[in-house]
Amino acid sequence: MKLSVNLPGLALKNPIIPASGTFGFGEEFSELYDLNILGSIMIKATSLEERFGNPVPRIAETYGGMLNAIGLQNPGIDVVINQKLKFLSQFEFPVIANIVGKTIDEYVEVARRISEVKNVGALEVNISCPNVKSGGIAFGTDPNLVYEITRKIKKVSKVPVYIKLSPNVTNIVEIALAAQKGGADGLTMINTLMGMRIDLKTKKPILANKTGGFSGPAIKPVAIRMIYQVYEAVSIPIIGMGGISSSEDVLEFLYAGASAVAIGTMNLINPYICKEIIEDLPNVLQKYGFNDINDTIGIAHRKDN
Amino acid sequence: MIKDFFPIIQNKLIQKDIYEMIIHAPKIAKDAKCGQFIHISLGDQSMLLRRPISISQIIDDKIVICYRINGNGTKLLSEKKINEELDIIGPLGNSFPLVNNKKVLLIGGGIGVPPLLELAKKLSKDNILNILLAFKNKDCIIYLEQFKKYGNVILTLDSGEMGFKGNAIDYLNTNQLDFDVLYSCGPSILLQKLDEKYYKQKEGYLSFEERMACGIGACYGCVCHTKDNYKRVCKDGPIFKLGEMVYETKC
Repeated sequence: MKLSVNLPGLALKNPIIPASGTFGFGEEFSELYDLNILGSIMIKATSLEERFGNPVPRIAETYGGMLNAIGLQNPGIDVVINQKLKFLSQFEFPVIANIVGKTIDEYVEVARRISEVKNVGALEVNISCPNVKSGGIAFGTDPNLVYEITRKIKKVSKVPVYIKLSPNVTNIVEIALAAQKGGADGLTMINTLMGMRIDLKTKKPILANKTGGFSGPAIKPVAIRMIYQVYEAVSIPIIGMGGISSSEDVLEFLYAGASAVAIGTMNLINPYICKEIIEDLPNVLQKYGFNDINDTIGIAHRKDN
Repeated sequence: MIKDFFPIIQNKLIQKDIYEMIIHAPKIAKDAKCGQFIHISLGDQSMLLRRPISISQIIDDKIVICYRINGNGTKLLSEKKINEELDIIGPLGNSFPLVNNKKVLLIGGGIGVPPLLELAKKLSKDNILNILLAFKNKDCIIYLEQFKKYGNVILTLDSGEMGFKGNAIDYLNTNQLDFDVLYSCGPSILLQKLDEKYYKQKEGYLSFEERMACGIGACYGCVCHTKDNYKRVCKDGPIFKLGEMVYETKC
């Protein structure tokens, strides 16, 4: 069974990647299993300076999913480069560095510096976090800004650039095309949907940030639909994510047009989920008649099915 | 840390809305220390997040937890039957540091009382214990008799039906207790008041809680603000030293 896929900057032994923000920098999970089995790791969003994130509560449960409003807490690029990426360099895979900034200049500076690190295979530009006041989603909902930020990051990055798209837009295809026009090498999608829960006793939003990013199995159909639409419109590869909890889900994302996938929320529920999916994936591929995972990518779009 | 399925041996109502569950979990019991917690999956796709619950006792190859029905998740947990297997990760978090030859004060408030039971058992061997147990009213009292085996128990009830009338802080403000080391688990307001009252004078350890997701330190969902930067309640805690927490910035 062939599980390897080749994407710009990313020769992956399999298409399974823990999603940014759900796996830290791999340290906690490395105590549970050998991370070398993974295709790659999308590290926690990294900014120029250390960020403390939002007040607590940062977590709320929802039907079939959860809300989070962590707010991009991270130790800043110096610690990420000197400690976190150094720690990850013991593993074989190329790292996908998720980057964020409050201004375009900050994005560009983080991109320039982090793309020089040897084990970084690609950048994932987070223009879609719904939980911060400046940066994040503010850049991801306007096609002109998406084009601008992509173009500027592409100019300085030593590695391929993937733009992480937000589902909180009217027309995601328009945003995807703007990223492609700006020179993006690929897209990752989708980030969380903006949501809210209210406590019946306190009569106030549960999250201190009031709103949070909605993720988990409940959002899967939204992700599948958006990947399907974007695949038809762009020529760059897509890394798909949004509610994946099984190898059947992985196959559904590949059918829709993703070339690889990221597992997010389910890492928080079952810390062994990526390992279990990697082990089960060949069985599911075989069950549906495939010998090579590359044959599944975008198959839902074929007219001759 | 283990993730596995373990059978329920007992799931019994011991007080209004409060259940005691015994789980046959040799692999967890072997490593578990006082103050650590387990992270329980409800096995229900609509309620995905695990529930972090402190270990209240470790008895041979069994662990005991005690929980109050507080929402749909704990309600579902209360309906679990004997022999049903629970998907559990644990033991997680740090533990209460143990002391010797000291005068110790344990302070438990409400559902924060059970996590002190294993600690009382361990500490009672080499220390002198005063145990202050605070509840709302008579119908909330748990584990009173068990704690009496390990030290001098002082009961306070907000309702005043028995024992001292008032809460734990009211008691400490009006009575002098001679102690070297303090341990507490209970509502955050109790922990904060104890911290403010004693942090400059005493050695002490407080067990905090926060809404959690992963429980292993990866997601940063349960951070708290300490004098030494932000820390994760699940991984760096749940036990923090007196004086470590910062309260003025509501985190």
